[in-house]
Amino acid sequence: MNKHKYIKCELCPRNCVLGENERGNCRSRINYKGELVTLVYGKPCTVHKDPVEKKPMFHFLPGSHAFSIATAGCNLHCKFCQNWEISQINPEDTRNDDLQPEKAVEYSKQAECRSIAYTYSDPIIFYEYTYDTSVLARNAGIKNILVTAGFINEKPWRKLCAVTDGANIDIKAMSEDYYRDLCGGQLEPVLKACKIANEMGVAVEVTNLIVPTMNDNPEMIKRLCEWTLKNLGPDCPLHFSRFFPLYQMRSLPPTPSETLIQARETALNQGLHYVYVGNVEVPDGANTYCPGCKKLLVSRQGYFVGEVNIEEGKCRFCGYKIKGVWS
Amino acid sequence: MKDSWKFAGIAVATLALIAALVISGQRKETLSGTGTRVDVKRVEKLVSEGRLTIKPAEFGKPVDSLEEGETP
Repeated sequence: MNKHKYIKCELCPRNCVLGENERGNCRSRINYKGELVTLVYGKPCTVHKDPVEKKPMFHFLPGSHAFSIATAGCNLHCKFCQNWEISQINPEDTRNDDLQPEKAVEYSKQAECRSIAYTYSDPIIFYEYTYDTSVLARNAGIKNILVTAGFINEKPWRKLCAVTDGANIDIKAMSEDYYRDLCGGQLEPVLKACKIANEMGVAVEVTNLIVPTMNDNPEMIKRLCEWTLKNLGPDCPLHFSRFFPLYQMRSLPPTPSETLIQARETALNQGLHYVYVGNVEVPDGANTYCPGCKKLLVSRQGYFVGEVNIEEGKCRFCGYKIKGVWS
Repeated sequence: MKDSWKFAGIAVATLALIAALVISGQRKETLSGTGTRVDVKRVEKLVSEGRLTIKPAEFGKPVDSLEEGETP
């Protein structure tokens, strides 16, 4: 019998303090008989085989597949969430499979996936499942990708990064107000998580979902580019993603292509080398060009990869070293 | 006279009910943290069916007060 009244969950910056039989903000962690437990370990509600480009990870084994898993819940509550059917629901209310870490790795191999992506909702809320699976995957020669909002405390983040190969981290906007009002979160811990992952050698790619009238201000986009350049370097891939009206923001229109093209121009002008637009067909919007000789390195059409002119991590034409995981 | 006794009885019962509600409300407030209530029986049933798990999680710290609670 635990003599303490509460349990504080120190996984994410919310630091929820839970009385007995209470659930954390993420929905997946509860105080059960005086102990913090997870309800979703080995119980994904979504399992897919996806092109790694769908994550999106463009500098990570292009043309390969990622065995993709998610459980219900999330520690952010974005009004524009594109996966709200699983992220904003309790795990009791989703149809969950039993897929223990060993099986996840085995199935990844069978499906000829070169990586496992912890994605769709947020791997932070199925932390223990992600970590244990990542350890086994590494031992089996399979790489690990986190697709996350990066809203996590430093200690657990460092532990997870140590077994992670790539991460697409969502920076939703360079504004605390935006995080507070639209996502129920905070910006600062996310920026810190980006820097830590980058410092620890994780192949970080950043995604920014541009929501019309909410975070499409050119000045805010410029600030995001400046921050990325300064803190993650010019070789950090940056994806501007198109918003579609979903969840609690159905009254807004999809992001106009021109806004995405303009954001890409801004980022390139700021000095970022690899800038992409996603969820929309824009000429050259998904291709990778060599910062050295400007020749086409990787051509992409939607999630499909055409020619790849990268050999041993370098441009086939001029030898420029291209940041990413290529083999 | 009879009506007076009836009235007094009702008044006492009402006061007792209010007191019980206040006390139980305070008790609930004392015991609850920043989370939302879980239907534990339902969770345990789903665990027995293999649809959920109850597995110890990391980064839990026993505390005695709500002071270091959820950030806004």
